[in-house]
Amino acid sequence: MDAALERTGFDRSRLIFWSVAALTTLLVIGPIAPIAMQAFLNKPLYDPTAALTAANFGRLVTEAGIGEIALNTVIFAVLSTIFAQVFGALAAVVIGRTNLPGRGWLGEVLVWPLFVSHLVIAFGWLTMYGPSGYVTLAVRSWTGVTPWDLYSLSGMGVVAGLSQAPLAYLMCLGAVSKADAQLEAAARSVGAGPFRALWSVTVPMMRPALIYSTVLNFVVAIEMLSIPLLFGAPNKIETITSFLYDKGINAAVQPDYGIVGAAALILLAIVALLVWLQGRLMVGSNRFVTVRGKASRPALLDLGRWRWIVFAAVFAYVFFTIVLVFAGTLMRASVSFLTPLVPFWTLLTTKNFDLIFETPNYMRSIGNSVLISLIGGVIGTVLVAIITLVSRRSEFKGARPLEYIALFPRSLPGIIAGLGFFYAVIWVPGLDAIRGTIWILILAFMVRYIPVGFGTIAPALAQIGDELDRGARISGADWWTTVTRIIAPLLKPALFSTFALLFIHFFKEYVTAVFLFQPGSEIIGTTMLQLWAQGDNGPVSALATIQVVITALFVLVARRVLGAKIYG
Amino acid sequence: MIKGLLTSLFTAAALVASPGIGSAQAPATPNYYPADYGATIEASRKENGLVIYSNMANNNWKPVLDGFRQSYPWIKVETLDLGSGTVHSRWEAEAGSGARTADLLISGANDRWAAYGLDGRMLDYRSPEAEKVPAFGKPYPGVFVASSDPLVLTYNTALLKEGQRPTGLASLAKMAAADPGTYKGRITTYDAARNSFGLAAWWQTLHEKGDAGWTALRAIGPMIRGEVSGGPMNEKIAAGEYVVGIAVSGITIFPRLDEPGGKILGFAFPDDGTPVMLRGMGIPKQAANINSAKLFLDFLLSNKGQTLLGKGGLVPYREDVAESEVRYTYQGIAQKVGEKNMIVVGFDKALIEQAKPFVEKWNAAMQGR
Repeated sequence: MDAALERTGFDRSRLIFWSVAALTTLLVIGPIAPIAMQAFLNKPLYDPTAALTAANFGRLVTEAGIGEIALNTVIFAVLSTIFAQVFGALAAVVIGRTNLPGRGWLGEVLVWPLFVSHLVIAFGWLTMYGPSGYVTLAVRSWTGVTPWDLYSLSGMGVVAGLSQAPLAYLMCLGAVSKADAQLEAAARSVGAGPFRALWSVTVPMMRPALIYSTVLNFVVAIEMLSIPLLFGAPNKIETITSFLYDKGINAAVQPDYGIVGAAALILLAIVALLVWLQGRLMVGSNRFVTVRGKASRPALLDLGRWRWIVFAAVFAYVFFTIVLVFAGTLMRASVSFLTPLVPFWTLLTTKNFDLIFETPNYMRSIGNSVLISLIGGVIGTVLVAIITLVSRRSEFKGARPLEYIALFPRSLPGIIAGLGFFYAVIWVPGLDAIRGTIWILILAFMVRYIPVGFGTIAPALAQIGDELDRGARISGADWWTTVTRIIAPLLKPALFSTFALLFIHFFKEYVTAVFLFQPGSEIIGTTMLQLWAQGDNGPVSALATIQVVITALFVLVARRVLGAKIYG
Repeated sequence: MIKGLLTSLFTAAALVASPGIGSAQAPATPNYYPADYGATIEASRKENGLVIYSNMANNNWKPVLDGFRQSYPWIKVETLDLGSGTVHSRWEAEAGSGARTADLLISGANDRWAAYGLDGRMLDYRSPEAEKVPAFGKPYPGVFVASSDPLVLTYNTALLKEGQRPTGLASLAKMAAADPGTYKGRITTYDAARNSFGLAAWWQTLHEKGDAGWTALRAIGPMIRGEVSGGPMNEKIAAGEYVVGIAVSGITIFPRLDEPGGKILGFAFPDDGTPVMLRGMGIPKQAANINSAKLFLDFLLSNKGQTLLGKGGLVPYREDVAESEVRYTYQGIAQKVGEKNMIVVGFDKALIEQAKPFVEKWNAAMQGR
């Protein structure tokens, strides 16, 4: 219908469509192309004598221990997904559907782990439950046995799973809290007890959310670096990410770029396949539509005499896996050594914080993290908003492909994005100018989190009726005027939420930065990893504490002032 | 707490933002420096500061950087602390592509230094300080030694009482065999298979000890949990996760002894051979700020620079450094353990050729084979 209009000479909307599409494509291909290249080169990418070869894959397959690495990765990912899904779904059911006492604040605490990086969480676990953690040693001194070993695949799976459980919790919570209480009431009326009603009615309704979050958590586990690095290394349990980290940058002998490129490409392909699979599984999820025109007030299920027993279980879970883990970080930050062999009050010191505050490099990493999150959050929100508007609310012919490209970074593990951008900036002439600045990090983080922003803006956009657009267009406004004057103001709450969400993601991101940071562009996460490598766990915990405090302040401000919705 | 944090944030921002301090008088150079040294100093004023990749922590660097700033206030020095291998992997990737990178490299990856020495990738700089340092301080053209750091045996003093403490590799092997309950999974060292620093240290140690060394290592191999850095070893020894560490970098443990509770850690120079790591350094040929790099290298080799390195916890090797000024000197350690008992980990080119078979043999020894 707009064919006539489109032909009338210069149209700034079309210019915007094409530039956004080109920019997005460039950003997404940016890190992937160099990795694909490197996978088929016999020498480093930047070496002018490098020649094409397919031998890297052969060498990778025959590399000693590669089978074990693959197996470890799969076992680790499966275990952590199971833990995440089981605990997340259970929490969602009891908090979303029952009259559990204290469900408000318990639900609030349950999502804490999502706000901070896995690195911070891993340190907390190490301090409390590691081989020489406070809780481990307390249990050992009471019972004489060490009940668990975090330095094992199952230990890693538990930690990773529990730190991802909040994601499953949130998605399932969304599903169950929309569910029609009449269905449960129907089950109760034919004699089902409260648990039977939950099991037979509520749990099946969560299926789409469960499937969706299962694949998501599986992918998160596959690309997780901190936990394999911290807990796997002492017992030489390698996963694909710690393999890439060690071989790509920390190599004892020469880094083998060919093998790294090949492994990275395979990892990318597997994750892309999983994300595609997720999309396929979600087809047909409308079987589970329970919110219909005839709505009833959601009623809570009465747990009866089980109320306090369930409360005790949920409270124990929250206390031992979340509160204590955060407390561990603060405790470690306040002592010189973590040891049960000396009373801890003789070890109290402010030295760890002093070291951070007195070292310009460390303070700069905090400043950089804040700057990257602020600048990146703002630019990212604007970019994602335009991408979403073009792909969902315009006559642009490439709207569908643009959406696919914009969502592709879901399949782009952080370590691959970082490695890819690292190759890209040293490979493409001219890009060197942004290396060593925070801009390369902003760029890399932005690419990675376009889908997160898209996922926040798209649903809000769908709620704005397109008669508004049409009204504006009929009155003579072009596309750009329509979206900036009519749609954008209506999207404001969603835009604030997107900014807040991007800020949090940027602030906790570190995996993407491990290959990219330079003196001057350190961030909290990379400084923590550096300090950890030197074994300075006190300052590491001090930095982690600072990160938690800044995050908490931001969430408070974002919720109060911007009215942003972050995780429920 | 929050207020303090904000204040510090602003201070840091101000520090970062503050422009370079205006040009100062060139420092007086010793009389044995060449006449054209002033030209190097002048040229450094036009350069963009100095980037150093090293395997040294900020607290090691602080006295040196403070001292250097006094002499050359216009040179802004940035240090990046990385693992020994990482220093090189990063630099090689960046230099290979012509990207901006380090002007000076310092690390304990001695295999890489040997390789650079042979293929001439470092600038063949004739430092005026070179004649003042011992011969082992300049193994190849362009490759210098920054410090000579001992690897020590460390233990948890609460778990191992006086008399139960091993004194060397042989004594550890004997004690561990007699009491596997205490030692199983609780001995640590650098994993030579995963870390350049450990590779160089253990290669030299086992090269000198021969079969006796391998036998001892095989005996404790299955009880060892390897680490890639000295810090975590001390951390975990203090916690009781490990009871003993063999060949632990001294510079990581010495400063911790003075902290609250530091008495939980104890150390000894192994009586059957104390490895001394020579820490290599060099200026890459393509360095962007070559004059600043030269000034810094000369400073590190000078008496003052070596003394300040010592104050930062490293071990100077220049003969004219006063023992009283620093914790240890190379000569002091030689006196303590006996010159014959020092295993000096240098830059043997066999490190490159034999790395692969050595790592295989090492991994087998870790499994007791």
